[in-house]
Amino acid sequence: MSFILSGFKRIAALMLATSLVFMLSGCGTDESSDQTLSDGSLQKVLDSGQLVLGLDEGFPPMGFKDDNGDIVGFDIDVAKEVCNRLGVKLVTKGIDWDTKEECLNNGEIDCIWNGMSITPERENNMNLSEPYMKNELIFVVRGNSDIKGIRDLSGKTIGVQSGASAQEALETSDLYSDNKVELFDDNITLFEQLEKGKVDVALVDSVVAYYSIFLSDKQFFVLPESLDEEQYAIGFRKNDKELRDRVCEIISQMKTDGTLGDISKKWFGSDITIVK
Amino acid sequence: MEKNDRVNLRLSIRSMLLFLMVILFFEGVIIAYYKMLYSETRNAIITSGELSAVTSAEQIDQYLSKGVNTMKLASYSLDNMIRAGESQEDIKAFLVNQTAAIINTTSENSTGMYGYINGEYLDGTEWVPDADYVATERPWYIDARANVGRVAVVDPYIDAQTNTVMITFSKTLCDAKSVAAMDFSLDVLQDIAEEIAARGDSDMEIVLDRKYQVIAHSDRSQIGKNYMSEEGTFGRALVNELRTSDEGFYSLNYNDAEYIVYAVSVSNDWICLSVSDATSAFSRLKNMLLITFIASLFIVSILLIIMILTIEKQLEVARLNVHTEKLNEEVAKQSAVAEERGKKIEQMSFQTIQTLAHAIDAKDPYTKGHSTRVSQYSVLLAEALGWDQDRINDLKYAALLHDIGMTGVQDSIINNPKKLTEAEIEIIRSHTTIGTDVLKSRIMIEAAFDVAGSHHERYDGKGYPKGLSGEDISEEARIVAIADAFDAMNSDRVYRKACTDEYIKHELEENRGKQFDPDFVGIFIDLWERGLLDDVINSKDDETKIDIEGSSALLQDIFETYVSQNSADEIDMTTGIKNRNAGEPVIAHIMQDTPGCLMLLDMDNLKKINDTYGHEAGDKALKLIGDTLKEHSKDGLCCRLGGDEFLLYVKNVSSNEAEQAILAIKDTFERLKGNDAEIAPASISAGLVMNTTSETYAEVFNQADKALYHVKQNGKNGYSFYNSDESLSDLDSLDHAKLIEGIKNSGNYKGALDVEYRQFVKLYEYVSNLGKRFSHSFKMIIISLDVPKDKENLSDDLERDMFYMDKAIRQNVRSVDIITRYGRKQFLIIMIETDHEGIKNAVDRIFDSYLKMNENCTFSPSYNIADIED
Repeated sequence: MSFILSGFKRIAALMLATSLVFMLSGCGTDESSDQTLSDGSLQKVLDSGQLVLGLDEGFPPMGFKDDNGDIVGFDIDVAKEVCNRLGVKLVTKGIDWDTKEECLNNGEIDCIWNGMSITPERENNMNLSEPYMKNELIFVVRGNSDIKGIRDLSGKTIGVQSGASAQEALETSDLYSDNKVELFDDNITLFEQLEKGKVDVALVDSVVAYYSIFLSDKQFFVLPESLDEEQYAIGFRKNDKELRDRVCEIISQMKTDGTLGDISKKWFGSDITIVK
Repeated sequence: MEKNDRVNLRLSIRSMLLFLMVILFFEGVIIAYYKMLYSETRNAIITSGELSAVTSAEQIDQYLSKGVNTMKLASYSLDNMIRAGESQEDIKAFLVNQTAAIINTTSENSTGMYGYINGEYLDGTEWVPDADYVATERPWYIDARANVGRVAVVDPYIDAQTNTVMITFSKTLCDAKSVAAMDFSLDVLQDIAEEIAARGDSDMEIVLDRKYQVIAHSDRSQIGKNYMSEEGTFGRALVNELRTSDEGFYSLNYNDAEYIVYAVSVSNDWICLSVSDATSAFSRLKNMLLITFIASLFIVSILLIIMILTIEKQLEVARLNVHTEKLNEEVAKQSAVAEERGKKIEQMSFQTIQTLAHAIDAKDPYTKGHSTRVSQYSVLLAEALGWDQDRINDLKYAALLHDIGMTGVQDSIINNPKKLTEAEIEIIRSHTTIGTDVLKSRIMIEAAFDVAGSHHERYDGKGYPKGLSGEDISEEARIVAIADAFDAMNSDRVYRKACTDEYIKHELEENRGKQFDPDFVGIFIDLWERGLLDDVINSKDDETKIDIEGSSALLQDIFETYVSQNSADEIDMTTGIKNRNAGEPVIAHIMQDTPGCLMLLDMDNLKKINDTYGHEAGDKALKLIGDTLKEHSKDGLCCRLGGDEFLLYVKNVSSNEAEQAILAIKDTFERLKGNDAEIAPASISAGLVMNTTSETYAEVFNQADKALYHVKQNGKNGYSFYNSDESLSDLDSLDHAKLIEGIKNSGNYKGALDVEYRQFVKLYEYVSNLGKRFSHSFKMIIISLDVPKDKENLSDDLERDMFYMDKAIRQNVRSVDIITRYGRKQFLIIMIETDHEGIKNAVDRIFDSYLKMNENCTFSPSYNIADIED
């Protein structure tokens, strides 16, 4: 009799285990929830009372120094709003676009928020936010240029900002071998040089280009072809997931309540953000 | 038992746990299955949703692409024209051309192209704006610029003219200042959405722009709504989920309804949503799950209950087996015990039978232990005769039960020992309650019956009941006869002490060859003289607890079947007349109405007869009285009151007639007695009372009793009417014939004519009459035992002494002398032809004998001589 019972015991235990497995497995498939890891990055910012934003000060309209010497721009406005909602102060810091990642990683800045394009390399090295704007890399020529399209580019001098995604794009394209490339620190300088004739064509973000051209009294033309389609995102340190998530959350809320759209309208005339 | 309960409890708990676990398992399986099914259903919905979403997206894309591409191409051309520095008129002409082309290619979904070029508004549709129309403030211009070179899709608006939903495609041209634009109808889009929804692939087709504004909706009323800005609506829920979902599909719960939404991006950042109401599908699924759940629960429960019951049954069986095992152990134990007991049965049987014997003895006021001693004497004699052990054993039991007849067993059984059939034996056996071991074998049973029936046979053939003689009597019976007589004489009785050894020996020797087997008696006496019987003689009765009740019951049981049924209730077996219960009430009743004479009769010397010859003789005598009464009481007004007392009522007689009646009765009795020596001493004493019906039965009976007592006290064998002064009644006149008769039939004793008082008186009178002529030849001697006043109550001693005196006288008088007992302490002797010298010698001899027989006599004798007077 006891043998039978012990046999039953075994079977019963097995069944119990299996049933538990079944039930648990059944439950598990529905939701996948992201658990925000508490890595302290957000708390650090909150404690310090400020978010240090790193930017290339010559990148209108995203973030730039205006005539008054203030740092303004779409990104800046959004960042300001985010910091308001976080309850901290926005501190902007001009950085060398070339060394932006180093600055981020050594703690000089908490984020790179300046119309930074998403590239695979940047995705690896940083914790990027959700994309918030589209962008193309376009060619700009002087008004009196006889370059009508890309086919006219061979043998010409192409100017590009150093450290920009444009540079990277250029270097990976065929144009690189055919043409001379000139690097510049910032886009404003680049435009000046273009105007002066130092370079024949400038490869720039469309966002910057159209903005700048519109405001310039000089005549420039945009070539019909664009080199690349990009998306802008904010860059955080790789481990600052909590901070990044919180910022994205706020931006999403800003989209919901329309704040984001308003800022976009302010700078672009219309809501061109692609935040979900 | 406690342990059993604990075990049971543990098992019950286990069963329950098992039950639970199995149910859990099955439910787990079901839940997993359901989950799977749910996913499957969801996937199915998603797939169909995806299909419709993709389809609609494709269609929308196609449609929109037309516009976008047209725009792109036109822009390209315009850019060239601007670069080439062409004139406004040329550009305008181009626009007009394009418009025509566009209207054609878009099947009139577009109205045409226009733009703000080189600072001037140009319209290919020939539409002329108002004076305050500022192109650069128009949404198409602003959106184009905002979209920095991409084709912008301007928010839908309702066209005032056509009342259709329109959008505008616009694009910034190469100089970053000029913008070309094209209006586009969304009707087609709407149609597509509606058609797809109507097809049933999905429940809703929605096209949202980047700002979550409804561009197209299968439900027209939804167009233009901004789902983002709405709170708590379905649209808002839709958008919320859309924003958080990573994948192309998601499920949505809204107002207890479940939806599955498939989202596809359409060109230009628009989103096409296919919404399917999965509630019904899922609810069906849920119901199915519920039903399956419950059903499985039910089935599994039943199965488990059956299983558990089976297990319990098995447990029960196991328990019973254990129980049975235990029982078997018990049985084995009991068997061992029984075996043990079997060994004791032999001993127990003897004890049991001894108990029976005691019961027998207890029933009759004999001495205790009589049956045991008879048995023991018999055994000793049998051993001396050299019998084998088995036969001695049977004799032992038979001897114990030799007086079984005293329990009232029918004669026919007692006297037919050799003819017991197997059936009869079986019936005897089956009735035993103490066990069949009591009467072990047929042989023993028959031996018992034989001895019981035959121990009153006499060696000389004059015995009872059959008159068997010599070797015809079984040896067992012959032995027991000796033992029985010996013990009877050697024991104290109620009315006398044990006989002396000399007397006993004398009696035994005297009756050798007559009553007893000559050889056996010799051996017996020899044993006695050698002192081998002393242990028995001196044995005290076994004082161990005797189950009188049980033994009586056993006896009843054994012979129950042989007791006659119909007469048992009314008729007294021994005498053959009614018993007291039947007869007395009848007599009492009659006495109330009918005058007559009540006679209370008593048989004299019953005890003496029983003592000397056994109770068979006594019974014989009693039966004769019964017969006598039957003869004299044809109307049946007689009964045996019990013992030796009888009751008779004679109706409607005078006292004289009553007297005649009682004398007739006595005569009849004497006649019936015949020559039988055993019952010779039997006579009838009677107390008579005339009933006048004025007194109660009890009063009359009481008087009869007193009269009887008077008779008894004055020599018995007489009758007396109740007389309040208790004086002697009148003497009867002498009846010569009776006298002579009496003399002739005076019995077989050697010695003097032993008569009862009445007859003595008759003889006295006769002699006294004779004595007129021969008066000096007769003398009356009165022998008296001196009973001083203080010893008046020693009636036992008196009886004993009188007994021995009786014997002494009879042994020492001549045959012509006449003796009678007179009263309690006197004897009267009529001596013939004797003188004082002779008388003195005779009396001396008498007294010598008396004293020799009765050494320790209590009362001393004395005598008087009286002349017989006229």
